[in-house]
Amino acid sequence: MPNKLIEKIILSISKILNEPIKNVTMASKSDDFNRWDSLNHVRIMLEIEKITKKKIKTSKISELNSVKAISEYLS
Amino acid sequence: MLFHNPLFLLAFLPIVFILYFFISKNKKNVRMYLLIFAGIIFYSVWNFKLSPIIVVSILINYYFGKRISDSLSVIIKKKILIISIIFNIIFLAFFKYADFIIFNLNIIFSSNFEFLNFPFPLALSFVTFQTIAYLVDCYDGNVIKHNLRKYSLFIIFFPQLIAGPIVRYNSMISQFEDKKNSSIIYKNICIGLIVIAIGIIKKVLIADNLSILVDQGHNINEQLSFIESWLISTSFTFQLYFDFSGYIDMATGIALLFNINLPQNFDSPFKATNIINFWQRWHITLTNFLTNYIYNPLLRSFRKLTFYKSMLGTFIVFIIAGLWHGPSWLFIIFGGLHGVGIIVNQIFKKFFVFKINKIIAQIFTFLYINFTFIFFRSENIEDALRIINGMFNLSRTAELSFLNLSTNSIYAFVASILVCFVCKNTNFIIIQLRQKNILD
Repeated sequence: MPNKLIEKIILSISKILNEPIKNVTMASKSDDFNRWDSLNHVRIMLEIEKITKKKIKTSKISELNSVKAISEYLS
Repeated sequence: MLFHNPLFLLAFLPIVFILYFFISKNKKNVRMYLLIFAGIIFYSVWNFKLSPIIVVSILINYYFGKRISDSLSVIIKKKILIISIIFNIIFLAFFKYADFIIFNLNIIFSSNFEFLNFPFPLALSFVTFQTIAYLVDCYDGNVIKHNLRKYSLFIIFFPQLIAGPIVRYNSMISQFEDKKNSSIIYKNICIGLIVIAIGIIKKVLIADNLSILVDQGHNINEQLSFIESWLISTSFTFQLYFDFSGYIDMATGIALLFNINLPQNFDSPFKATNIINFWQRWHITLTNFLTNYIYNPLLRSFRKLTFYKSMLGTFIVFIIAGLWHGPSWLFIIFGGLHGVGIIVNQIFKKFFVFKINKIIAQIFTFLYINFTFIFFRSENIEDALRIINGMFNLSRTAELSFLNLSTNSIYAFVASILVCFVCKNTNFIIIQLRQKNILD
């Protein structure tokens, strides 16, 4: 998966979670952030769909609860 | 047939277990047919006449799943998926909610439609959710090879047929196909039997003894004092937990005898520190289903996602969850109260920055959950209000005169408090046993 895409996704996650970008890394998981709740999870998914122009499968959404899982799903 | 029934424990389960491992491990198909046949018998013992309903549901949904996967056009796939989900909802509504709908129509239009009085096929609520998850998996391309035998087993595998947990197709079938699971694993048998025993203790010694107290209290709820009302309401909260989690423990243990791991469904729910946390610990597989297949698609369907829209989505999901539990306004109120609880939690999380002491948070959460479960148990709204009224009637604080407290019920109540608030849960015990060489 291109690094630029990952960077864009990390930037979006940090904006949605209202976290400094340095706090969101490839190792980040939903449990690491108090604000990564069910609502923001859907927001993140919608943002990823917008960036990648790909629809995320309904059955996969809940599994994409870390930057690594998102990156693996998209690659 | 219930799991703690001697006929099941001493005849049905040992026979199926022996036959399953007696069949050569190279004949996986025959083993699967045996479990399907066992599932049909298990279901038929409850009501032979209604067992074809579950078979018909399996056949129709297998056809739907195959059509979804085989379709090359995404639009057609989507159309079949929508039709199949609507079919399943109508199928469930026909048996479970027809009289509830008629009852409400009669009130609204002052009509006099007669009730249909259909018997409700056991397990249909769980089967419907599990089927919808399967159909979405077909749509998403997660089910690659369709096989009626495997699909039938996925639906009718008897340990989780009646009361869940709600499982996913791939996670179940992959376990049946795994070579490592084809031989007897003595460690699994040991852990399975221990977990079955824990389940039986929860159900028979705790839940059943509490139910005597709860039934008695609800029969004389007009006379209950302050203490009695609290005792009845908390006893039911504990009864429901031990009944359900006990049954899930038995299901988990039984599945483990066949080397099948069922997902965790309870994680010490009364240790929750808020309502959001409660639903992450209570009936976990239902919460996951509601999140994945109702909440997420609902939120994604909104044009612009805002906090307030998401709260509306939460409330809708919990109304559906309440109604799923049973065809009554009391269940809708139960669901609605949990929806409101979560919304209040979310508002606090978003707009206020203060932390409550963990124990105080735990107590408040338990009190709120206890309050909502009054609606779950009551026969009607008047009954529920009478219990609630008793819980706030301080004029009769010390009276404990109407309830006939048996020693067993008192022991069960004390055990409930210890198990729920102090002890570790079954899943923790399973993990610990797995890590230890219990057979060495």
